[in-house]
Amino acid sequence: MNYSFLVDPDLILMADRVYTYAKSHMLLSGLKIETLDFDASPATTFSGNSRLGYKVCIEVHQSPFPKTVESFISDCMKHNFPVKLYIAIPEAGNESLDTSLVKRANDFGVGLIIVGKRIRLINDALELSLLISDVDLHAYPKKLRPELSQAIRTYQNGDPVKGVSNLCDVVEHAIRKIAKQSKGNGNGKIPLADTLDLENGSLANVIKKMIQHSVLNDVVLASCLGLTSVRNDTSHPPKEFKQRVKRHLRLKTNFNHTLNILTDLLIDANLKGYRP
Amino acid sequence: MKKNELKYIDIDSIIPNPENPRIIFRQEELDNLLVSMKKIGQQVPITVFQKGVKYIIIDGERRWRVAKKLNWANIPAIIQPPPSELENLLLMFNIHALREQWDYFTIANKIIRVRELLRKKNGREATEQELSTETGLTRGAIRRCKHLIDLPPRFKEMLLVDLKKPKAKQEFSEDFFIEMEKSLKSIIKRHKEFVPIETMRNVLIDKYKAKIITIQDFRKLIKIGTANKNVNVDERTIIDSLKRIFTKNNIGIDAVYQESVGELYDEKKFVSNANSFLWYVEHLKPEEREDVEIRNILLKTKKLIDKILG
Repeated sequence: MNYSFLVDPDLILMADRVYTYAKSHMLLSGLKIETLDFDASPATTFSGNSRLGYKVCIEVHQSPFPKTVESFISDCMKHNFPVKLYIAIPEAGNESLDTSLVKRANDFGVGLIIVGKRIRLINDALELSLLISDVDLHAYPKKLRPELSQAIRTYQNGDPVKGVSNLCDVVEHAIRKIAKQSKGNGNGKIPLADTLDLENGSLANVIKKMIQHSVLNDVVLASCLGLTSVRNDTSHPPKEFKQRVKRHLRLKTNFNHTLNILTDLLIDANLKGYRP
Repeated sequence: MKKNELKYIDIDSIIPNPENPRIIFRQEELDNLLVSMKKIGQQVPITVFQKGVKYIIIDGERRWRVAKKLNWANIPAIIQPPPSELENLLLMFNIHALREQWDYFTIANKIIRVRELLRKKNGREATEQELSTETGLTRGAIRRCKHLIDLPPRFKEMLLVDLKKPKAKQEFSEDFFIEMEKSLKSIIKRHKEFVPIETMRNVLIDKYKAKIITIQDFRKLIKIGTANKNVNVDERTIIDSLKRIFTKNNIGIDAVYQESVGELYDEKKFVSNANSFLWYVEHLKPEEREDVEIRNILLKTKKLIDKILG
């Protein structure tokens, strides 16, 4: 194979094997060498199309997280490109892998391919368009953290629809808990005599009831009502790159929007003495 | 075409210059340039000349390679009129070699062609001085290149493969081959029984790979070979010592040097330094003789000499 940028003779030999592996094991089509057909840079050593509609890019390098891919990741995140990035590195032999760089690659959802006598895919990659900014779980109540963490993992691991839905579930649990805690007499309370089933009744009705009795800030509660449409977005993942870009942009917006609603809800609940 | 026109050129219409003496690019250098060009763009246009529908690079092959990797559609370039083959080569030597340290091996390869073209132009062999003037390289650099030019092809190939690796991963280096060739040529100049040098070269390479010898040892090899002239060692001792070095065994150059001629060279060095010291003492000026620091050293020396001589 002819490479312009890859000049290290050991890496060139390795790259030729990775090319074959990408075709036969990763089943990539339209494999390109040091060229991209979407607007990101720098071009990775190889790029190709997966059957599911996302691109797969493979950078052949000595390092598990070379500085040359940082701007590529940033471009893909910025433009919501559904791209899985892998770094193919030589088997370490006597030298051990730089674990801090492996961790960094992992944090960015970058996969790792180790090339030795045989080629092994060590870490699978995430679509870079699904990466979201770090969420500080400690800023949320302990009881909600496991569910919240699960929602983030599901989203980033390739099922964004379920991830958003899980996050909506977290919001719903919080709302219902606050509603139940607000039962009582007086201002800002749902009267004890009210018969609405706060545990199993329609969520929209629960929220409306909370608005009616000013349990929390009206604006916060009204935004919770809008979550129904977000939750019902169950469209199937398109197998076309451009459609996938649009879908991931919408889902990322939904995820971040829901997370903001949850944050606002918890702050207001906290101010009013509720502990969801 | 206007002279030295600056234009944005389609990146795919540019091709590397087959005469570029720089045949070795290191991955790390390209990586660093990529990060820089991505961040601040291409600060200096490349230089090309037009050949048909293509543009051939005179200066800026690394920038072009990086721009391709950066997915750029075009890059700024200064277009010069097409040079003759000799002009093309000399232009690149003068642009590149003066700007940054090149591997001697890359220069050596093209020096051969420059010599041929100069011979054709002048009708005679170019002198070392003329080569130096034309290429902008020092005479020392040209001499070092000559050692590499004379290497057998398999060693050149070995070196070429190695030079493409990051410095830390290189098994051999140009210095190794240059110093080895220099010492072997010095040996066979004085001791014809070691001709041809092929066997010696193989043994030295094996010993270097096995870490029995180092690059610094080659200076000692020259000293052993010239010990007859320099420290009056008999020819037989020198030949025996060299034979031990050029035999497949675990004996290094340093060990043989210490056993055979090391002390004699140390003695020679001592005598030379002592003579310099004596000369300095004899020529001390009156005010220097009163200097406390100098007097202390002289007193210490006197005490030491008295102790040794009794």
